[in-house]
Amino acid sequence: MELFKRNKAATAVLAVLACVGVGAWIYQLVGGLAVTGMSNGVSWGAYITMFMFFVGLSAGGLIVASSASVFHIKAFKRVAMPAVILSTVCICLAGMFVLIDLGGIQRVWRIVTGPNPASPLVWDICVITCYLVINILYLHFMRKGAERAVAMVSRFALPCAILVHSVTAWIFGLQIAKEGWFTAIMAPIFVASAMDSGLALLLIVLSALNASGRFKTPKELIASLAGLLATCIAVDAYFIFCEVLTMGYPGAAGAETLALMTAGPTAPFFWFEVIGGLLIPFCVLVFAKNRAKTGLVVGASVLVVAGVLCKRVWLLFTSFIGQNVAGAPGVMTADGWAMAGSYAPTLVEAAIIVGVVSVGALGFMALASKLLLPATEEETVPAATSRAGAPDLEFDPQVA
Amino acid sequence: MSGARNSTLTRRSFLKTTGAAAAGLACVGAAGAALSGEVLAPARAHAEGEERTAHLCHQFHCLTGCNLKCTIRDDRITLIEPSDLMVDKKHSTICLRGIGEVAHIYAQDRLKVPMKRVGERGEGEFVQISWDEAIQTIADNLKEAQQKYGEGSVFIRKSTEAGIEFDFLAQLIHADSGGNWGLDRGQANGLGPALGPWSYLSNRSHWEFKDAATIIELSHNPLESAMVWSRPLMDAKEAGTYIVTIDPRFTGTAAKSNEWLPVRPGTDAAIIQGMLKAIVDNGWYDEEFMLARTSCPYLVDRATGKSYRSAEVVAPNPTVVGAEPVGAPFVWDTVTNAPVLYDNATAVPALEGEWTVDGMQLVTEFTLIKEWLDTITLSWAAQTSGIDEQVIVNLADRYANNGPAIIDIGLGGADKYTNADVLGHSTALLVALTGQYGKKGAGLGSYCGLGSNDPSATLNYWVLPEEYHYGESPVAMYDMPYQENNIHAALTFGDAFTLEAGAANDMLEWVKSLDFFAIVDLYHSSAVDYADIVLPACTKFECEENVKQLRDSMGHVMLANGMVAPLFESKSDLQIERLLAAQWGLEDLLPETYEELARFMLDGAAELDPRMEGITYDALLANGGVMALPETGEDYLPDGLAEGFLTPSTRIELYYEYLADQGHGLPVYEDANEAYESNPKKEQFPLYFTQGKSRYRIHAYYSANEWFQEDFGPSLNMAPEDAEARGIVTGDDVRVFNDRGSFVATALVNRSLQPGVLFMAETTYTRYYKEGFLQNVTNSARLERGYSMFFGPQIPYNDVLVEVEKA
Amino acid sequence: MTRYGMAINQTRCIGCQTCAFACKMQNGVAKDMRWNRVLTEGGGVADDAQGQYPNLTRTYLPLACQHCENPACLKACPTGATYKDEMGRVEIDYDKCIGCRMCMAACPYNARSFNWAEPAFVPDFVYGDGQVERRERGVAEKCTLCKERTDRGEEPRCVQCCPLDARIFGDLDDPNSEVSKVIVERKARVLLEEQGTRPQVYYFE
Repeated sequence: MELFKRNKAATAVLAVLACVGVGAWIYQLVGGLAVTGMSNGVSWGAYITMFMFFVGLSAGGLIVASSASVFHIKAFKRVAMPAVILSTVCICLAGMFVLIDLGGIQRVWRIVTGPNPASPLVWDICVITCYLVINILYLHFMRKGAERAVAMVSRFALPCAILVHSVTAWIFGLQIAKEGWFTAIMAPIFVASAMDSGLALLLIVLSALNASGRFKTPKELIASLAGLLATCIAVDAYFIFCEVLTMGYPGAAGAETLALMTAGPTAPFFWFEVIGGLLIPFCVLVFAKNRAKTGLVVGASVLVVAGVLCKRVWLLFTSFIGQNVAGAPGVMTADGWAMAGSYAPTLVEAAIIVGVVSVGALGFMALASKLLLPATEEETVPAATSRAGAPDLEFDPQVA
Repeated sequence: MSGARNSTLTRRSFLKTTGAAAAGLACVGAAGAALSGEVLAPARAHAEGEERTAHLCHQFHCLTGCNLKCTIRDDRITLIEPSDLMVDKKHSTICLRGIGEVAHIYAQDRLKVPMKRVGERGEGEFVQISWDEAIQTIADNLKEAQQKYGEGSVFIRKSTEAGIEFDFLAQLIHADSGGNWGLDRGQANGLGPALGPWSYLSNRSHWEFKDAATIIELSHNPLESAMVWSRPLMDAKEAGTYIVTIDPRFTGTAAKSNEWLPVRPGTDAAIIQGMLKAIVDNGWYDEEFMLARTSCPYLVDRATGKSYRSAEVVAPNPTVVGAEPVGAPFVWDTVTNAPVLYDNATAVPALEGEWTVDGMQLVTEFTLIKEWLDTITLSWAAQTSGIDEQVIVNLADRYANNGPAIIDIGLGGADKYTNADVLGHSTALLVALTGQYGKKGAGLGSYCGLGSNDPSATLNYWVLPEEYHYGESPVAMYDMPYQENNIHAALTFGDAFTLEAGAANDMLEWVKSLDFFAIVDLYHSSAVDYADIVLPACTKFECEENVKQLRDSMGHVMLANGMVAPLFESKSDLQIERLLAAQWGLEDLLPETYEELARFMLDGAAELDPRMEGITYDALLANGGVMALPETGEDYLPDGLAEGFLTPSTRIELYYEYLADQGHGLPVYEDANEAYESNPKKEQFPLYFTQGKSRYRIHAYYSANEWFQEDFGPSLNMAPEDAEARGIVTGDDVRVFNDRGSFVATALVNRSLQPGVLFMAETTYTRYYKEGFLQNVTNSARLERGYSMFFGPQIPYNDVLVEVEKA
Repeated sequence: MTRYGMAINQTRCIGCQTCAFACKMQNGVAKDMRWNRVLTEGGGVADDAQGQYPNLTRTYLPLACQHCENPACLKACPTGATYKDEMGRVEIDYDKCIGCRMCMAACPYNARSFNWAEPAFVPDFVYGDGQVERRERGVAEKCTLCKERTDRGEEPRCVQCCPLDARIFGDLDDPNSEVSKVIVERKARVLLEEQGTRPQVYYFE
């Protein structure tokens, strides 16, 4: 566990935070979800936000890694291992958030014994399980160096990654009750957000590994991934623009939701995402010379990740503000009647989230220590990635 | 619910076999003596989860009196539903107040144990004491006051629900019972001399609403005050009756009406007088009715303002204070061209005219009415009331010319201004001139269900021996802070001092000055904090025995039965009265038990009234406590009072000679005491402050219901314009103040208010306010001529100006 | 087939809240929950008015589970805890509820309440109909159309207690039932028709 030894202070802090998180979770199990900020008005909160967020974050890794095989982008192969480790950890965290969010976790087995095939949540559990299995197989085969097996798994991994985001999107996007969710573009938006936030996180992690010296990623590869990130941001922004335009243009119910999004309680999150999460990073990364500067790339990536987190927040909560059948005094909550949904996470929720993320960080460190080859001779081979941009002779149109 | 439950004292089995005990007082005395040693049955034993049902008559105070079916599980009332025992299914009624009893009975603000004050009066600091000590202390203090200052120095009052069947103690010790109540009889004061003292209550059934072409809801809001009586009004609406509500506020009733007239507070009489003006100017009046059924042709001496009456033929006058007999009035016979007695069968009386007889200028009342109406204009009526001239004329037209019409007045609302008698008197004129009275679909009064919708029972009332009676009440309770009086000690059943008086700072200051004050109450009401001794009473649902009150409601006789034992250390009113009476050695004059009282009330009733045949105590118990009177049924409709009014001449008497000296022989308009547009006080306190009923309460009752508290607390409704001008938004704490006091409430910005007018549901317990309570700002002014009226001057709760600011 | 439903007369509804409390009592609904809410349409506060003074209107909207024919909550529920029973009511099998609150996100009518904590009762005993199943922490609950009462052939409690007789209960599949007739004759509407949930609770004026 080399990374633990090298980063004793960080490890200790993470371990403490993880323990606090576990404590908070036990507290929640004792007190019920009443210890959270959720209510009958806003019945999903930070856990579901984090669930969406981490499903998305896990995408970047697997997509980059499997692209290496599927599209024979050989350069990406170098980072396949950290990418898949990241992906695995993130999807585990996402699953943990769903379980933490359950009010009746003691009955969770019901979902196995009597699943309702119409429920998007059931689909999601199936897809996430598949996705996790693929990740583990991927790691397993990569570690063994079983190139053919890796190639085989990647062919499943890429569609599965796309599917996992789509199904997560459908949990929301198929709910006609929520004006802000109910849109066909929800799945593409989730995929796009997953790609940009996942890639951004991968870039941050690779840079961190670089800094730690545990694993070296060539600057050119970083720059190349940053270029891909810029493209993903553009696609994400494009989808959001399509959605916003469709919401606002008829001036009907969607416009009201849009008004809430752009000027209501969730507006800060919306505007941070648009400006901080899309506009600024894109403007930075669109220039090749900026992509060559790791600092700028990391900065832009941090903005992208933060931006997507904000997007999860506005996406989830904007639809909880209003009530379709509006009327005073509204919905009854523990704080009395509420005409508009309001929510703030409690300390318990914060502690659990920090704890879960800490567990994730520790998990990544553990897996990275075990699975990543130490910085090797490849460092000494410069410009190896110039091939990345070259036409790929082994491109297999059938897979594409 | 923690707190000791006195569950072992349940019912006195002794009286089961003592049917004769109800025969009379002497007998009761003997039975009481035999019972002075406790003869108690063992506690009712119940298996876990065992259910039983019980029936009782709920509140009368909302004027409904629903019979409720209660499910009792593990000796707790767990479910309350409409009665299944009513012969007439339209009477299987309930509203949220009945249902809410599940929470209200067990509310945390129940008084649980007898207490004695340890802090200053008003601080609300108490310690628990025993019942013995509490009763002893009360008796000692009342006796001491009577010894020192005379019998009349003790004031005892029971609030409405506490004193329906009996009120013994005050009579036993000749206490002052506080005289006039001053509540909700402002219009009645003005109606009584014209139509009879009880004419403020309609003598026709509200099930006739659908037969009316027009209903004017005059300051009446049954849809929020007595919900189960909303049905006839909504049935009428569905049947096509045109409903007009005159109310400063867009009430629940206004919202369901065809037309809402947002009258300025305290100016309702201006609308009615505008209608009178239109009716007379356009000749829309009913001459036949006026000649036959009203005093319009009666003669008045123009010079003196005295009516021209016979000295020989006199009639009793029940309608004014003193009830002095008056002479029979004369009319002008157009055949003989001479005055004749009003009931002369062959005369053809003149409706209008002026004649000289023995040097007297005689005019008819109608001539005087017309002359008076010549002095007012429609534009004045419009300007005063804030209602457009044409709207007033249209309403007059609709009322006078469009078939049967009803004026349904509210008890409260418009009564709570000093000029309410002018309104009542004006309304009497309106009815008299149009003949909208005494026929199907036409009538006047509060159609509130009291007595007139259903057959009523004949019951015996427990009477004390002649030597026991209330003492003199020279000063009304609400005047005690302002008028010299001899009260030194007080005992109230319920919160009389903050509910039955305005300007609480004055009243509570006076209460503080008393030598002694004890209160018997169910909940920690506002006055409790000022008491020296506090006794916990139990609710209607609880009793030491299996039965409780016997009541007559909705055409049924209802005996409350299947009671749960009194919660905590509370006791029933009867047992509390008996404990107190025992201190004077007089408890044997009281019924021993509710069973004895009920048996007494029913025993021999059939001999007085054959309709009561078969309705006996045992039969009632066998029938779940509910038995119908013979006429009860879907088709029952009373005929109302078609012939004869309770006035000296048995006609509607419009000219109030007894007020002529004060310039009010006719309802000459006058402004309310405080609530009028040109009041210079408006510069400082620009907002009208009004209060009224809420569905969540009857006055303060049900305030302690924690279910209702989730929806409703002390909140001030204000129009958006007024809120905005003061930077107030819904949910803000606001201070309401004037020169009499202030309080803090939560603001609700509500478009239902007319700008410049505030509204609060009537008082609730002070403990639910952040600071003060609404009675701190209400008015203590008295209408001087009110003292010569039947119900005395009324408390002008709504005749109030205030200012509001963010607290 | 039987398909229970209800029609509510908004002209007769005076917003008295009797049905709301009758429901709370009957079903032993805990603190901070209401299965049945009486809303003031367009109001900023309860009993508010719409329009500009003095041209005001006020409409009350009693709102509970709409027992939809196409219930969004039922599809969303991952465990089948929410189901449509043979009487056409939407019911919850509390034993199967895992507390994921998909149903709450899916219901367009905010009809559901969740037991965020161990249910607290005021007064602190189990009030209501003894046959009504009690709910524990971590499950969703809502109007059952008074399953226990309607199974016994009685009307739902809100229907029984309404002082104005504004609620009509019956079988929508029986064209001769009062409720079916009223829906046709009075041109009753459903809430949020555009959402396609096909509620079995109708409203008319």
